[in-house]
Amino acid sequence: MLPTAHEEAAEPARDDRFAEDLSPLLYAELKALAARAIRGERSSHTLQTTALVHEAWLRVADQRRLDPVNRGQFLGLAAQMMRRVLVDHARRRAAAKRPTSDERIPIEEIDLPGSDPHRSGFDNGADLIQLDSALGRLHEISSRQAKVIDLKFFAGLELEEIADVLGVARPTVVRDWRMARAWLQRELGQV
Amino acid sequence: MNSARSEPNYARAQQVVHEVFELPLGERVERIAFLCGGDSALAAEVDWLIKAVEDDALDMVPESVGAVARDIANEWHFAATIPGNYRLLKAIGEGGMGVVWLAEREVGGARQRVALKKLHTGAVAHRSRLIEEQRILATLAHPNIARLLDAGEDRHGAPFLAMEFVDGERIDHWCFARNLDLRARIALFIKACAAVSYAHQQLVIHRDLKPSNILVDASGEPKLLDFGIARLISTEAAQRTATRFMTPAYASPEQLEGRPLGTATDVWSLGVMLYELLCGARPLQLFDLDHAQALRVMSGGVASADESMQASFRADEAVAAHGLSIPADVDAIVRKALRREPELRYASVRELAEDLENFLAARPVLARRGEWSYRASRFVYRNRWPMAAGMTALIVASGFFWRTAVAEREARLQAQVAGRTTEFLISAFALSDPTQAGRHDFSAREVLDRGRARIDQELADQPLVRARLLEAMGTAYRGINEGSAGAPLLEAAAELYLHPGINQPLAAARVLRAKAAAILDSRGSTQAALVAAQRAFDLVQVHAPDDLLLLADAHGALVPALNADAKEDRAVATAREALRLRELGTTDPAALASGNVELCAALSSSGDSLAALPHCERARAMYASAGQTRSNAYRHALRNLESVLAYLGRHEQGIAMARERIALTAALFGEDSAVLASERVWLIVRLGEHGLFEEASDLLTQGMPVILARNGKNSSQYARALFCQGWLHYLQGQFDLALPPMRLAVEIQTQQVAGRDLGTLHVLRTTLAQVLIESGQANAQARELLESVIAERNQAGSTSNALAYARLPLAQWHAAHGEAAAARVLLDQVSAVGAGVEQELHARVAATRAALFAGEGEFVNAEIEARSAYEIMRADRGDNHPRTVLYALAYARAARAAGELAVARALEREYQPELTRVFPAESAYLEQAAAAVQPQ
Repeated sequence: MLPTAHEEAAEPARDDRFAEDLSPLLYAELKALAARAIRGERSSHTLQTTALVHEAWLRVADQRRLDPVNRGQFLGLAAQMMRRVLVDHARRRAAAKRPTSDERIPIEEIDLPGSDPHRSGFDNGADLIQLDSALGRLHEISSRQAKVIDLKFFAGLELEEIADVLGVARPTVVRDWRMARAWLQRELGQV
Repeated sequence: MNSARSEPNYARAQQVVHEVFELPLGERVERIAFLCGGDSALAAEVDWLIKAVEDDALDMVPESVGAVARDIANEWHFAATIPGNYRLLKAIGEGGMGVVWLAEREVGGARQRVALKKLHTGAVAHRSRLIEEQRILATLAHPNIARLLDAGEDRHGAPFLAMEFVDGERIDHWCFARNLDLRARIALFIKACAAVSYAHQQLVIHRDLKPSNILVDASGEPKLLDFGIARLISTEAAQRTATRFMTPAYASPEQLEGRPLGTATDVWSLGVMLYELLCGARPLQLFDLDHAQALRVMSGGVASADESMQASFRADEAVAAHGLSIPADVDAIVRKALRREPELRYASVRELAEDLENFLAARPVLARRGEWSYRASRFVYRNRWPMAAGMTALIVASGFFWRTAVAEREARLQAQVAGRTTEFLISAFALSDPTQAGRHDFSAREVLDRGRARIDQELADQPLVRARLLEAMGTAYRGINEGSAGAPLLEAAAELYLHPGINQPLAAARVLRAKAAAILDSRGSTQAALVAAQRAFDLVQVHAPDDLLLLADAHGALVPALNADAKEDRAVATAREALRLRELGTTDPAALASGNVELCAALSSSGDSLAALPHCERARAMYASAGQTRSNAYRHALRNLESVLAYLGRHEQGIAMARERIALTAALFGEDSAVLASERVWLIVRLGEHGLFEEASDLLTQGMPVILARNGKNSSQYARALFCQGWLHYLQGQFDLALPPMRLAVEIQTQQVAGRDLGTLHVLRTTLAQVLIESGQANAQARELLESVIAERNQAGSTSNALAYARLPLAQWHAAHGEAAAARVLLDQVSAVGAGVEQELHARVAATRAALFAGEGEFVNAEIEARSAYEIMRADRGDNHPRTVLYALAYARAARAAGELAVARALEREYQPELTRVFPAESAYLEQAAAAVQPQ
């Protein structure tokens, strides 16, 4: 028996309300966390998605007095939010990008503490926008695989945790993950 | 891309893959063939996906995700958070790197006026400065700092900052235009200081403080502007640029010399500004110096420049011109801010502001004290509540270090120490995470033990961190009632603080005080406690002889140690001195209250409860009015008050205090805490005295198991509990039940303190002897117990009040052995102590005299004494008190013996029912009464 369709139909309606309720708050929270990272309050300048998501969880849970039982749903949502934050950012950057003229210094070349000296250009952002739309298509084919990717990429979860969150067996998640990765690779030709 | 073609196949193929992977290996090929049903495209897709599933090299997250995340972290602020349309109105300022415009910004239909800072076209080199300013401003949110509203790039890609527009006047112009008086100027300046101090807390040094950067708005609020050359303390920013861009007149010597800058540079600039605000002129010698000249002055190129500069700070002359009279205190404050050596200035802007507040509040100012670094130790000491388990001290201490960062390097060092300390503790606690350690739960004790085991091996090369950790953990042990485990750690911390490499004698004094307290808490050697307290005292006397509060603390720590070592008179004198010093040194109600508690405890221990009472009552009222009734200090005050009230015979009040205290203890320490258990057990004595035997018995049932579980059989706490158990039986006349636990208590306590603790052991021995004698066993052991107590007390220079409690039962012993003369000598000594002791002591004296007279056949005298005993008890404790009943019936017996049958019958009618009501059936008191009545 193929579990995919069955399981997704069985998701309770309550989760949607929960998601609707929480997501602007969570989005703001993630943004604030990302913004905070630049101010040097965190010891590391590398934004770690896992750490951010967990911290956002702690804060949101604190504010809303959420039952920790919802952690799984939260993480799924957090992953989506994180993706949105990142993609929005990449879009804005892509929109702002214009042909360079000689008297202007591209912002990437300003030496900022914590920025990666080996990074050049802004191609990663373009990758991300493509990745985002590809994930949209994947969602149409198998929403569970798209969720697996979200949780892995944007919430930094281990496959074990993803299995917990989605309530499926670990081998299933491993297969979903590897097949979806292969599919994305083929779609984008580069991921 | 082939997605359009492959998607239907992919959707189907991945289902196939999921399905076949659930099958045994051997069945897969066949199943795939079946499911694909000859569709070769699908079969190829399945084949491809099976390879993908078997390839674990794909498990990495793509770099592009992480890279964009890093982009966000690095460049979040370059995108205008709200896309706003700006309209430039007019230029309101121009500097070396750009122009500040007054601009209008549209946000959601509303218009807002902002100050828009833009770089000159082509000022590419300054771009990083603007970005740095933006980064810094983004960390600052303070009502007295102009806010960053937006940042981004304009249409041409040039960066801009949009700031809160402050429509105001320069602070100096504002003051002079309104002819503000001295106090108003200082108050305004303090607000500006708050903004700078806040920035320092965020690790930002302004470096260009001057009147034109502080505007006062229409509501009179100063706003700090222009963080254009500010630097984060943590960045290794080039100091040279600071020299280039600053305003020389306000620049500190170290700034002019291009030395590394700390927060002290802002203290200097504020000092110049304060001088200017008050006098209308800058310190003269700096006034006309251009940059080059200033540099020469500071580097010593101009002879005696420093001296003339210092001389110019005499505010008096400038003052006369402006009609403001500058008090000596303010002069001292300005001078302290303008010390050439950064380390001699105020340690922080906050300290400068506090000193100005001291001046405004007519308190002594720091600037005029010889020693001012005491604050560091004071701060920690004030937060010394032991149950905060040292963690509070740590958190407080690390916060504190950020605030008073003397200079960049020191701030970093201390942050490192605090950070390292916290890290270590966290790692110790991480082990208590049940999921990590595979155990259900850890007690605080276990966590501390683990931490202690690791300190020496892991932090061998970081003595300061080790010292702070040892201190924190020693305090924490004390907090969980394990002072005996904490004391050696505190000693080790003291050694480290005293090590020449660290050399923090006042910190050493602080931990030695804690050590003394830890030893006393755990009923350890009173001599060791006294030695520790004395060492702390000596260190403070040598290293901070002018610091009243530290000296007061040093005296204060000696008091309980002296008391415990039965040196009551010295304890009282020391406590008086401590209180006197506190009253000179502070107006802080909590500090004064704790001084009063100390004195109360000392007086009470010396037996002078009457003198003690007002101090305890004052302390309680002080805590209450300061709103500090949920603190351990308040609990401590209640405990002393309670004991004094009991000694004064105000038992109901005393018991009410005890109940309040126990409720507070339960709230502060938890239901199964050892502290609560030992308090409950102690209250047994008071309740028993009052005839509340049942409630007392309940407390014993609640407390005893906790004490056994927490402290074990071989502990002073258990000894005390046993004593209380025995005493409760004694009070009910159950002598047979009383003696075994009391004997065991003496035995355990003797082992525990190995002959060194005098106070508690004396009480235990005295009461054991008393019970022996009163139960008709006035044997050699009883006499020996009492005589040894008296001898040791005499040797310790004990006051007669304390001796009285041992002399009285010894008098009873002699009376029981028919040695009337010896008994009377002792009774006279006891009578001589006067009104300062429990009234019952006097009643017992009278009762013993009555017994002596009765033994001599002098029944009339016996009756007089017996009546006296009864009346003392009745006045002290009321008609219903169980011992009033006993003394009444003793009086009845004496009256009967003297032939006063009517008196005897009246008393018996009134009190006999009480006797049977209050005491249990098997009570010896019932037998005594029955035996006395029967033969008649």
